[in-house]
Order: sequence, then C-alpha cells, then structure tokens
Amino acid sequence: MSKVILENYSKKINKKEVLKNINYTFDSGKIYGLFGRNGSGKTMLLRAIAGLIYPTSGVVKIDGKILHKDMSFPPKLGIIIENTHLLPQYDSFTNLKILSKINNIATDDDIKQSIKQVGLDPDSRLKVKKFSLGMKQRLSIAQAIFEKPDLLLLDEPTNAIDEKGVEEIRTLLLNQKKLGATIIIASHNKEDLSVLADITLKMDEGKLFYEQA
Amino acid sequence: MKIDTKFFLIFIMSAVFSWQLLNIWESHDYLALYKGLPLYLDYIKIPVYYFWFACISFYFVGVIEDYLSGYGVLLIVRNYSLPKLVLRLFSKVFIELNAIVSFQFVIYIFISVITKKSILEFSMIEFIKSYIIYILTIYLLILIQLLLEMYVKAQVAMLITNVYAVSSILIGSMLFEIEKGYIFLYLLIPNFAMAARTTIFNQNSFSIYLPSVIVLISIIISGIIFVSIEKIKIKDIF
Repeated sequence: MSKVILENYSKKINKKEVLKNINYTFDSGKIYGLFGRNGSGKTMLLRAIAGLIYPTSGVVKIDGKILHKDMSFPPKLGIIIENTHLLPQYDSFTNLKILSKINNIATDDDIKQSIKQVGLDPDSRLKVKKFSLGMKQRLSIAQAIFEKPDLLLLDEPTNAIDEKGVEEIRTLLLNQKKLGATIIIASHNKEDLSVLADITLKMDEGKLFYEQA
Repeated sequence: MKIDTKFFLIFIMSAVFSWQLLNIWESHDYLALYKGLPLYLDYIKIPVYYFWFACISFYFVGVIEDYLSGYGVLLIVRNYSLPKLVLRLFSKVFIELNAIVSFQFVIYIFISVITKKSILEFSMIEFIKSYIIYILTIYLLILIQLLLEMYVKAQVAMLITNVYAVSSILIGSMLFEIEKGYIFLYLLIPNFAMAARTTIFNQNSFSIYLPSVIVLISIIISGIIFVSIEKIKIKDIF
C-alpha cells in the first residue's frame, strides 16, 4: 500500500515549467484517472511520482519517505511509460524472468499468471519482436503487475488493445485495486477513466485540477 | 548492438592489431600490450597501439545511455537506490574490462607464437606492475567516458574520451622530444598505460613515479565515482 503526497511540486525543463506547484494526495486502494491534452503534463506527473525526474522545487513523499532523499524510486512500483520497451530477442516469460531477478520477489508462477491475465500464452516461445503492437502493450501491463506492486503508474495502458482485451485489462486493474494498490492512469480514453477511476483529475499546462469523484 | 557481436569485433580487431604491433616492433616484448611502444619508435606508429584502447572504448559505448532510456528504465526503477546501481555498474565494468584486457593479451601472445616471434624472458613482477598500471589507466578512461554519457550523447562521450587519449599521447611524445615539462604528464593520463615510453618503472630517469601515479589514478577514479553518483541522483530520465 502506498500513499503518495506531492507538496509544492514544480519542474522546469529548458526554462519551461512543465509541472506547476502541484499539491495532491493519492490514497492507497484507489484508482486515479488523469486526463488532459497532449503536452499538458500527464506523463511528466507520472515520471515525477516514479522518481524519474528531479523536482525544481517541492517534494514527492511515498508513505512518508521523501523521494530522491530517502530513496531513489518508490518501492514496489509497477510502471508503463512512453519510450520503455521489453527485450525484442526474448519471449514473454524470459523477459519478465530477467526483470524478476533484480528483486527476487516474484516466482515463476507469478510471472506465468500475470502473462495469462493479460491474455497472452505464458508457454509461447514467440519472441517479442514478432509481437503485434497490442500484444506488446499487454506484455507491458504484465511487466507492471507481475511483482504485485503497491503503486501502479500507467500511461495509456489500453493503447492498441482490442475491445475484448480492454475488458480483460480493466478487470485486472480493478483486481489490483482490491489488493490495495494505488493506481494512477493517464489516458485519453474517457471510457477507460469513467469505468475505472474513483477520482478523475485534469492536467492543463502543468497544473493539476480536481475534476470529479 | 548485442554484447556477443561487440565481443566478436574485439576479437577480430585484437588479432589484426596484434599482427600489426608485432610487425612494427622488431625486438618483441611480450608485455608490449601493457607497456606501450618504446620511446625510440616513431610516434606516427602510436595509432596502432591506440586502436587497442579504441576497441575497449567502443565496447563500453552507450552503457549509461542504455540504463537511462527504453528497457533500462524498467531495470532502473526496480533498483530502488541509484547510488548502489552506479557502484554495481562500475564494478561490472571493471570485471568486464579485466576480461577484455586479458583476452586481448592472450590473442597477442597467440599471434606472436604463430608468427614465430621470440618472446623475451618472463618476469612476474614486471607483468603484475604493468598490468595494474594499464588496467587502472584504461578503467579511468572508461569511467570518464561513462561520466560524460550522463551529460552528452554516448557517441559524443566516446569521441571526447578518444580525442583526450590520442592528444595526451601526442603531447606526451612532444614532451619527450623536447625533454621538458615532464610534470605535465600527470595531466596526460593515457601516457601512464605506456610504461615503456614514460619509463614509469625506472626510478633513475626523468621518471614518472609509480606509487604517485597509482595514488593519482585512484583519487581521480574515486572522484569520478562520487560525481557520477551525485549526477545520476538529479538526472532526469526520459
């Protein structure tokens, strides 16, 4: 379970303020939906919470601990963010197995279960480079959830996934919520957000606005 | 590029450079790889020796960039502590560097045997001294390259490091020629990996003093590790 608090968080990149004085608390066991135009700061906010960018001012606290001071990244973090990808020369299972060796908290069964949950075959030896866009996205979701994270940051998680797949992913995310994870989803898909999100937030020009519960 | 492809390239390039190195130096020394070319050789022949380093520099290009983008992001967020990650990465580089340098040495000896070059008498002490100074110098240069990758693109970092390596050796050659300003050799670190030129082990000449070189390199390596850790803590990862 992760409670995420942003206090006076601002970030400037090349003199442009991409996140402006953000104050917000994300509670555990809830799904937060982030929407906004391209370049409004949604992905940047996910990066800030993930510890991938360093604040110009302000802090991010995860369960009371300050990011970049008490730890480099939130513990038990699952993430899908743009520009990340899995290793094309390996199959699904091997890809997750390699990642699992870093912390040794997921078993082979956990890996297989996650791959199955996203609608892929865990025993398939098909290499990721032969995957369709939708299959790659499904595997990214499996990558984010297989270690049973406390904090899930998902940037456009249902991109390129077919209708049936979207339903499966939604069910999966609702299950993660039941397990107590804090889930933050950035999406252009309003249907996704209306079905999944307990709280919807809007980003506009680097500012965060409370939209609706 | 996959690691095994890089290793294959190192194998081919090492074999070619071994053959060239053996051809330009008549009185063959089995430690030529670790001691560099002697002072009496024309400096124009030095590039052959430089290519050994170019191979190593090429092998490590993009190591930091790979961690800070794409798949690397999935690895990095699972490591919780960036300082520990940097220390682990630099240790891994040191181990791999030892493997590559030993591999290059084996190829060099192998080529010298098949080309029937006589091998001078073996001295374990000189071998160890040459190896230590060589590996420390090359490690320092690779760390400079990795540190630069945190500020500029990997290719630019490699270029800057290689320009520094080549220009250091050329300026060093100039100092030997005019027999002045040997103190500046301490700033031209790549020369340390050329014990045969700097007479680093010969205490009676103009002499670059071996213990002070080891202390200097160790201090700079520690400094680079410290700066790398501080830099990566505040580096934005996109």
